[in-house]
Amino acid sequence: MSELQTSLNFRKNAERAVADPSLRAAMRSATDTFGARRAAAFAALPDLELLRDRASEIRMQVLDNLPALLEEFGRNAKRAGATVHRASDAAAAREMILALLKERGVRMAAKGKSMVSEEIGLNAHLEAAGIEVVETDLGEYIIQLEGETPSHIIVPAIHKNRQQVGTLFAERLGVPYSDDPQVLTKIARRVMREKFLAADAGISGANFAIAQTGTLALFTNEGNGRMVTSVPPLHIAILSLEKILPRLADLPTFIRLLPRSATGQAITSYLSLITGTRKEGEATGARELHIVILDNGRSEILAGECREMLKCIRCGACMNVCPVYRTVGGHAYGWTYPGPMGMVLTTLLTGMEMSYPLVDASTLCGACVEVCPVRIPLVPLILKLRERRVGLGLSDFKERLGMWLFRAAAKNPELFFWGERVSRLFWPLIRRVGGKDVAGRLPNPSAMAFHRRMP
Amino acid sequence: MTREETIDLFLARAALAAAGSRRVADGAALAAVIVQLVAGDKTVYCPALSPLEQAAAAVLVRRVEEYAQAEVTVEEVLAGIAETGSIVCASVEGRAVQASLLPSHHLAILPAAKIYATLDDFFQNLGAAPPTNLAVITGPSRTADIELTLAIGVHGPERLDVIVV
Repeated sequence: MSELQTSLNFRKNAERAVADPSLRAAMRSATDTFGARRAAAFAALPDLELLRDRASEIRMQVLDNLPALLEEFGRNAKRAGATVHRASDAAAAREMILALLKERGVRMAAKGKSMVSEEIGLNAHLEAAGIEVVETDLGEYIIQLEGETPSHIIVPAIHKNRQQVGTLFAERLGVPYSDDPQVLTKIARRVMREKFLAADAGISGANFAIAQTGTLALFTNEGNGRMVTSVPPLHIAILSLEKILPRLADLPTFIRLLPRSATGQAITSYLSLITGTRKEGEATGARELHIVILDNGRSEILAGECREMLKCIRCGACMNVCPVYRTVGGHAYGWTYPGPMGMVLTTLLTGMEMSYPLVDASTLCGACVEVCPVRIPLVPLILKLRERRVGLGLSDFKERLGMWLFRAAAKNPELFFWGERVSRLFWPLIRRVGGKDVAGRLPNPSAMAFHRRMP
Repeated sequence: MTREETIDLFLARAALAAAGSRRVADGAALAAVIVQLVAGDKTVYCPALSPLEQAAAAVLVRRVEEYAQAEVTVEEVLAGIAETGSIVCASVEGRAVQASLLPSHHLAILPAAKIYATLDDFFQNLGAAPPTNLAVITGPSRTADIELTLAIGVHGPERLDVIVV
């Protein structure tokens, strides 16, 4: 993914998305539905604010003690039979996973939904090396057939309507056309069941990793997460290092918050806990479990002023309420993570030079902050990033020119007085030069300045 | 919450999650319900490890040894959680967690004494060394990946029945 990043084209991407009426209708109805379901789910939960405080507190504890917790997780996962690997960047993680699969002669891997695997561009890398990778989450499967990337972190194919999926299945799977989601789901069940049973390896992400026990926790609705982690003999899990929770007893807080925030469910159909490999006397469990923990710039974020971004549990609630995301959709952001959390994380992970136009993708309305289950201060983080962009000289030329002129004038009362007069005189010209989107939005200069009315 | 209230809450929450949920008095009543819920021509996997499973197995017509080939799994589960209406399956006593996943109908036998009131109660009791595979299951397999329209039975069972004994 990283090499395919198009965040620098955010404005162009967004313009294209806005001009696509079917995309806008899909985004609007999906985000409205999620918003309403989320609100209904939380209305039935009494101590929501306390829960959010608790969740935020646990996530901060994790960030404050991350190296020790990672070590504890590694120790306990190893004791339970897993092998834990640390990958410093995307390339290292890709190579590591490819090597594991190659050494074992794996030809086909069944894969569960994982945003981290999107972040490192895993599928393309494995496929280039001749390993077939089958996405098994229905939404991921749809976009894999289409050769696209996810547009929402929870519902990856949110931008596709049922007719488009029906046509895709008919063309690619040779089945009779149907646009009934239930029928399409059954087709996917049949096709993928064969893949699961034939797969030599399962690849998954993880929602959380429990330091106390070395356990991986996965929330799924379809059951594919359970399949990929327990049916094939080899299971490879990839997760980013901030996914740690200290104890099993911390899970209930996140079980109550994550599904409600993501889809408005009180709990997902399945929560799978995987602790190491099959032990003596057990009938199930992978024979071999490799856990790849990815850094990819996160240690640097952890040490900086934007560290609270790493509290994120990837629920997607901030996207569903964001007026920008709701209008432009996920692809416009040009990398793995969209919406408010995405613009901040993308900028931090890939660097301002690769992503600075994204910093504009917010109205600062704060709707994201209102819904964030772990209380990430997204608006202050966005403001920090805007400051950083100015500091790096990457802001828009006209913005810089305007700010420079204003600063010069504000420091000097004489200049301010004359500036006022001159700008009133040349206002039509300034509007034309400044562009209707920038200067055109400012009110006309008034004949009598406010400070002149002061006694 | 009294014991009875916990059981009632469990049954109500399981029903909310689209699981068939009912309560029976004993093994004999359990067998009678299983006869109603499982058609005679269906292939059924039932490990028959516990007395309740044995009571159920006695009335099953077409039992198979491999859950991967079965249309129905009838099994006793590790626990229930009233707060969410969930059941818990785990790789304990030589049990296979996939038995609750691969067949299209999962029929769970849940002794009332194994129902925990809250998620916290359950996780506090799990201890520091959980079994290799543990699944907290709430309702049938589902997806809303196409236009957010609910579809049941993606990879896991399309039907889940829980019988509290």
